[in-house]
Amino acid sequence: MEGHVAHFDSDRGSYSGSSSGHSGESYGYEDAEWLKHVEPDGSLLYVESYVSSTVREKQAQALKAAGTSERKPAFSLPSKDIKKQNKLLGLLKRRPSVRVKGSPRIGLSGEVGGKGGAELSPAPKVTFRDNPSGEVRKVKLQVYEGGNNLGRRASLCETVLGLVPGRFSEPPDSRVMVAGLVPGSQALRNGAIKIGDWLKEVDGAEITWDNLDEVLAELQIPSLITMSVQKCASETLPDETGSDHKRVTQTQLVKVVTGMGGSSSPSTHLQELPHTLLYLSLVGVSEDSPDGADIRYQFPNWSNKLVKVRGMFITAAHTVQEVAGTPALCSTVCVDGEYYHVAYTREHNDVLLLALPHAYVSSHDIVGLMEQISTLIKFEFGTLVKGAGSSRHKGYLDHLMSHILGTVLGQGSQDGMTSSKEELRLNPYLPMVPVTPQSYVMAYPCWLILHDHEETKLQIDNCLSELESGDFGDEDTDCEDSLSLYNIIGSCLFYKGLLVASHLSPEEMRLVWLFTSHHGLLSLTAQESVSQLVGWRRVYLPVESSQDASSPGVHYLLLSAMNHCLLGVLLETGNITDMLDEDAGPDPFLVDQIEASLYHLHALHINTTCEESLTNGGIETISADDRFGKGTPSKKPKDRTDVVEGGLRLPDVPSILKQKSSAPLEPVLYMGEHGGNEWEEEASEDSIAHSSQDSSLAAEEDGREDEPDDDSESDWRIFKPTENRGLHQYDFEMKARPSKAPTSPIRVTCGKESVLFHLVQLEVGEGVLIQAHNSTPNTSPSSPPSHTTAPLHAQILHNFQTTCGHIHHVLQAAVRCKDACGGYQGSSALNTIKEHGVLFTYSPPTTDGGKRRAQTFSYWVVGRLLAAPYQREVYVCYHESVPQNLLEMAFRVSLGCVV
Amino acid sequence: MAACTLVGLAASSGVPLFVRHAGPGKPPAYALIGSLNGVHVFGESHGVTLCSTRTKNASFTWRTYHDSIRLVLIRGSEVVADSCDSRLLDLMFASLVLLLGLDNLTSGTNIERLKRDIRPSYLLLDKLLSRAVNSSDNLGFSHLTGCAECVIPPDQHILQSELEKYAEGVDSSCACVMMNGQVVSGTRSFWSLSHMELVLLPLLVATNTFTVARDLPIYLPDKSPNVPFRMLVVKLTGHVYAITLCGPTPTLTEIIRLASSSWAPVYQVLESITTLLPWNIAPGLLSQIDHSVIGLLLVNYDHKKCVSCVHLSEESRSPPLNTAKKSAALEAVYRSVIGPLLQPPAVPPDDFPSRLHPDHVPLESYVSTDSYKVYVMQSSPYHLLILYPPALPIQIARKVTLRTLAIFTKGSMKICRH
Repeated sequence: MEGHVAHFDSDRGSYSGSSSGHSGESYGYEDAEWLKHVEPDGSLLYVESYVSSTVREKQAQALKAAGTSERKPAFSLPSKDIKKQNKLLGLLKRRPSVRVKGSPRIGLSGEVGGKGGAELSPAPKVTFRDNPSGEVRKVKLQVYEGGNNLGRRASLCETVLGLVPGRFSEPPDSRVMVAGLVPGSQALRNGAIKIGDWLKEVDGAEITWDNLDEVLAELQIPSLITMSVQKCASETLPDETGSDHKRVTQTQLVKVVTGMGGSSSPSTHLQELPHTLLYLSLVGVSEDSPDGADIRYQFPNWSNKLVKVRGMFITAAHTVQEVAGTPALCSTVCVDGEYYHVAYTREHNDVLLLALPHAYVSSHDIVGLMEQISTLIKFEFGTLVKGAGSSRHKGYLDHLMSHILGTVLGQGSQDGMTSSKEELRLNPYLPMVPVTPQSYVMAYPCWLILHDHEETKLQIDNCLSELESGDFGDEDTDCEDSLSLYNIIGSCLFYKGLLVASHLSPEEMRLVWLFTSHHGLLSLTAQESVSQLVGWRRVYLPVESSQDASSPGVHYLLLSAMNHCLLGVLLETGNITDMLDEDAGPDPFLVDQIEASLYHLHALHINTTCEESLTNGGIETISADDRFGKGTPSKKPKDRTDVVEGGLRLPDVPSILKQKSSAPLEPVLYMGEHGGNEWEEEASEDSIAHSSQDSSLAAEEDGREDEPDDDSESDWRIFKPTENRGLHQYDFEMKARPSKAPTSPIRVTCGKESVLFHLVQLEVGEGVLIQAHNSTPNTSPSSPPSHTTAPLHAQILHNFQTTCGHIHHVLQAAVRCKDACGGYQGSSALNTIKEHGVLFTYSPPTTDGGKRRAQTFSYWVVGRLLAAPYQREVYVCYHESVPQNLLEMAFRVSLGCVV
Repeated sequence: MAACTLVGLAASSGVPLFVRHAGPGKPPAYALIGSLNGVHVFGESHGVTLCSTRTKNASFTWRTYHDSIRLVLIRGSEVVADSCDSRLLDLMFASLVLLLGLDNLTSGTNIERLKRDIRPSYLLLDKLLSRAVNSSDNLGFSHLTGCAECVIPPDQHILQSELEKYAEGVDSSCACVMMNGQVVSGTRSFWSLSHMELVLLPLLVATNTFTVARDLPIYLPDKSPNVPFRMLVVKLTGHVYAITLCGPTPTLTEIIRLASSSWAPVYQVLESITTLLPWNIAPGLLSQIDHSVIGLLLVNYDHKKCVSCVHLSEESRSPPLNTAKKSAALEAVYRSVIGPLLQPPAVPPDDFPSRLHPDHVPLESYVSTDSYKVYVMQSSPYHLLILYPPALPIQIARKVTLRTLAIFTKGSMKICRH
């Protein structure tokens, strides 16, 4: 740590005055890298990756380990001593983030070797100034299978070669640098390879960052390989050269997500696929205007038939609204035998159009998507015309749209059905960005249910509350200045793209979610861990949701992420508005505080908890059914990830109840371990009773599953990870059911009887969702590919999602009917609808030549509309044989979600 | 009540031929109609066909037939059912063809004359529109199901043989007995008429208040759109008519004479059919149906028949639904479930393929509201929709539905028998 302090001095000299705005000279530590990336209008999206995405976990641990000890005083012990101390020292303590990040991490393998799991701390900025020419050496290395068993997160390079790959910070940056050596590896013992070396060739094959894995994958193992490495001279310490700024370490994915990497030219396939987003305005367009003068914004940039007939859509939108009294939502057109949907958003006389092929989106989907896009543009720019209508935002919007439309198109044609669904879909506009299928009809943030961690939840809430109140226990007046510039409206925390905690109102929550989701930040944090992410943008809340419309405050959204956690903070300008330069970037002090909060959360092991909840069950809703699809019982740990695919998201809770946010569910779902209120206990008892009753009915119980003797025992056993394996196995061994192994989202019933495949909850009123989040845990490059998901399982999921969309629509008929206006109305026959269910029967295709008798099995998809005061929809998918009382339980459980 | 507007235009000139409106409110102004037409024309000239547009509470459907007649349907609808709307439009156009003939309709150079010629079709169009908006005096499901509405008489074979004898006598293969616009019995070639014809013919008979007998030239939209037939309708009893499709002979007077001589011996049977009203189902079957059933709709797509019954008694404890409400409920459920989810087997698939996995077939569904439950069961080639009181548990509803389906499809009283 001394190294940091020493370093800090030199930093201070070189960075003073480098920042923008009011606080430039008052804080000498504003050496944050992101400051140089602030756009002229103040917006910012800065992402820094770890040196290698594959070592991120270890690095996170190292950071955490390194950070915890020194951070502690700043947060948990706000002692008077600190602020009376030398300001420099005080600041030092307050700014772990900048310090850790900004200081070069010089080859740490020696220093941190004793830190248990942290040996692998890579050295992204290793420099070697001696040996300027660089000698090329040939190194022979024995590799053998499982040589360096580092778990599934490790990259090939780590497992095979024992080298931690990194990238040079100077071009050409496709070169692979040895960023670290795996302890105990051959490479380390060999001694010939040093940190910082340039890994040039392996067995004669030239190595670049891009082909590294391929080359290594083709290696014969075990074998003796020859590598050539070169010492590299060009790396220099950034602060010593005084170069304007360090190159930001970013993985390919980050570059693509942030739009830093040049986007590749779209494939011809994409060009031939008619789809477009247009913003059309007839203002200032006259007869003799050139063709296309009415197009204020267009994406993608090539024209197609749909663009040519845009006049039709404008007129249609206006006429239809005039006739029907309500705005046009969507049109269906037929071009050359293909159907396309065109969704509209009108703003005054301007129209935003989105056209996509029917093969990719249904008409309901596109309406939902359009609503999201227009809401997002309004959120970011205030109005559509300010955003899409202004040419200076074109680049920005282009990038945003390639995220959004690429996601849609990347899901592939839906007519071709889901057999290919197992392969990882990629965004055609932004290669590298994987596409996770999502429902556009029910687009709300997804909750991650923290499982069995009541305390953690409380800690998170406390941490966010502290941040919001600016309560850092530090009354340093310098800091107060800048803090009072902004009032924090609320904050929310995502982990791997899933909402963990939110102190925002449902509307605001949804806006923040739309922003993070459509800018690819959620999927980015889900994919890989980032070292630092700072996002800053002026945003516009809808008028009705901002409390005092009389004095419209300026709102900002500040995002910060570390590892897999993303913290979003919604700010409002405070009372000292005159001091505020609206185009200034984020206040470094504020960013610092938020990053400090993230560190704090890390120190609380939020990461671990979330990860555990994510992979270790949380709320399991679907079980794998490999046996059915492949004929092998699936007891592998992989199934655990499959299981996670269906997630139940907790309902959002109005912010007044924020301390209770989502907590009440746990006792219900987890059998009242924490002793909930009476009702909850009752519920869990009920469910236990049902489940054990059911299990006694299941005659084909497998011997390996030892039945819990009494209910209370099962409480505890079920939560043990070791038990889960057995539970699954039990499910698979059941012969009475056609090899279907449904697992309840309520773990209570998980082991006993096939109950529910899926439970999903939509809170329209609260703006919160539910619905399956696919492939969340298994998208990291080093983990096994995700296509171990059983096909039937995926099919059911797909059907469930599709059907939910349909049911949602039918249920919403009631709502729509009530506020119908204008000349045309629907019939009112459905306006008291409460429940809608569909029974599916699956009969497997007869591929076995009739050898095996085709077993069919049936499952229900049921949606229920729960009446006021919580306008909520709950969807369940369960096996036909489930008794009604258990089903009622499922609905009941969801009722308990909101207190 | 929903509102529904049908606009017919000459495709080439864009001149409005007719505007029919049902339900509350007024049809849109001519300027708007022109602009709705213009939108479609503009797109078509660029090779882009505008099919439909929807708003929160209404859907617009455009369709051009034979490059000459363009129909625009504006329908207040909370359930989006593109296939329903386009099927309704097809029926509307077919009903124009039914009375005018395809050539007369499409080759019309004289717009004014065409307008005048179309006027007799208003009755049929209005009937379809009022069905679409679910007005209480026009109950029926044939426009939805694409199948002829039937009754299940107790002594079907007597009627059937009488009808065949009668058809032979009048030298026609296509004949049927109808009661209140519902088919009681039909010859083999009558049942070989297309779906649309089977929907429209009973409607046409029901819309015209015939006295004793009537001779009406009609074109069959699918079978013979240009060569007219004579539809000879003879009233047999108060509600029962005998209908034959004939060539130039025999004359109407001959038909009346023939009818009276051939039907007189079975007058008692005909009278007894009348007692089926308003249940449409033979008492023997009716008595087997569970008491919890308060309404039902059974469709057999193979035989293009559907039977509906909304007059089943309801237990007094649940608030009674009137027949219009029951039929609105069945219709709403039919529209929201069948098509989007359950594919009618014999109807050609929609333009909009289902997104469900092909191996996973939805077979049953239910909708539950505050005032009723509807259980839908598909068992090829049948669709059975049963209306239950809201209090009935869905598991029981399922069992009753299964049993009811068995009543109709198994045993001696098959609905599907010719």
